[in-house]
Amino acid sequence: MTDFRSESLHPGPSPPDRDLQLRLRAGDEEALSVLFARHRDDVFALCWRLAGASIADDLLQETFLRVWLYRASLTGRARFSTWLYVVARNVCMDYLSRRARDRSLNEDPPAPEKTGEPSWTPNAERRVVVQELLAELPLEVREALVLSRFHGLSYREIGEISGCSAGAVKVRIHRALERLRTAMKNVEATRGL
Amino acid sequence: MDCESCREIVVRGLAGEAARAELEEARAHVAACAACGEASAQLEDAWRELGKWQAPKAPADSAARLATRLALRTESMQRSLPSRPRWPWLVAAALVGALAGFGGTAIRHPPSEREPTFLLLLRRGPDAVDPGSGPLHERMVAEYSAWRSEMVRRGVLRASRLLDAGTGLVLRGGSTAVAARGVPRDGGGEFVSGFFLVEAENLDTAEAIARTSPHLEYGGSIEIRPIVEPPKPGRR
Repeated sequence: MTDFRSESLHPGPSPPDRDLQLRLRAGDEEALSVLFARHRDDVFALCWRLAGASIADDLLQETFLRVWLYRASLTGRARFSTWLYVVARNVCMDYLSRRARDRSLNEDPPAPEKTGEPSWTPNAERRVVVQELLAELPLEVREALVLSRFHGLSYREIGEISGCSAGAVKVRIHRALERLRTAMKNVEATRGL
Repeated sequence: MDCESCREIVVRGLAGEAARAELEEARAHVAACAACGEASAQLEDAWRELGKWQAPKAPADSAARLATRLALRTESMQRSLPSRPRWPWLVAAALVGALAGFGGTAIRHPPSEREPTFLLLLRRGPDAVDPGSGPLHERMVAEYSAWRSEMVRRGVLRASRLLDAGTGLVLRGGSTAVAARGVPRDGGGEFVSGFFLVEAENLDTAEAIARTSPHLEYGGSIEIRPIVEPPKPGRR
């Protein structure tokens, strides 16, 4: 069985994604294992922020299963990481659509799932504000914000992943950050600071 | 530059999307406009606050889980897409498989080549090792996966499944629920945690296969039962 746990299966420098995706396309399981070891934390983080902590690992698995199944569509023209984000994003969207459909059958749907208990700030109010706002953001807006802030992608790359223009990404991020700014300002005002 | 354009550039600057000249122009505006100065500081604060929303790393056992799922998927595809010539035995094999209750999905060999099939029922009791969710779990998953992969490689595995360890019922006139960790709520006893359907020449060979399972080392038991094949259509 291929070992998916370590990136360096053999001594020597690890090959770049460009070479690995060609090997992956040819059906090389070892290439998949190296790519998994290299990108799993990024994909997991994306799933964690978009879909929630409780399902993130399952979506990570599903993403790489699809990578394997659809490897023939790798052309080598695009960066592997961009293609991988497209797959991961679609996996998350499929899951969230299913969840929304399931919840629509309930008379009293539960609140949006939080994406995990953040541990970044001693300021509980600001933490709650950020978390609630993120949960309320339309998915395409949250997606743009997450890909920009945490994955360092350009507006053009985010547009490629989300299937929209770079201009649309710019508008989404601007609006999201303005909403966050306003919400945090209101918290400060409430506290009389 | 108007205030709206200034804030738009500030946001793009935070995302690394603004040109240097634009940023300088925006800074000049911020220096002269108190409202934009305040808004700019708040936007930077919001961006910084957002950045503290750090995700954990992927679970340590995610690699082992992926390997298992890929192996399952590969086997499933091998079963559904036989590489050998399909005709004429495929139709006959599908018929036999359907009669045997497998819906034709577990067919790999033509009937004439098929060996007897045995069901390996993996049981766990209260004394079996609890894998938990740490390194032991990862090791156990890897060992079970390796055992299973070896059966796939040797071409003896026809089907396998794990059973949900926390849900189920045992019917004995009444009903007994299966609790978390699979232990029946009526007070102990073994429960079936999974099954493997293997082809083997005879019971001894099936036993030899079962004895290589890590399940026995972890305190479980394996029941080996030959599958009764449906009678072949009589010839005139």
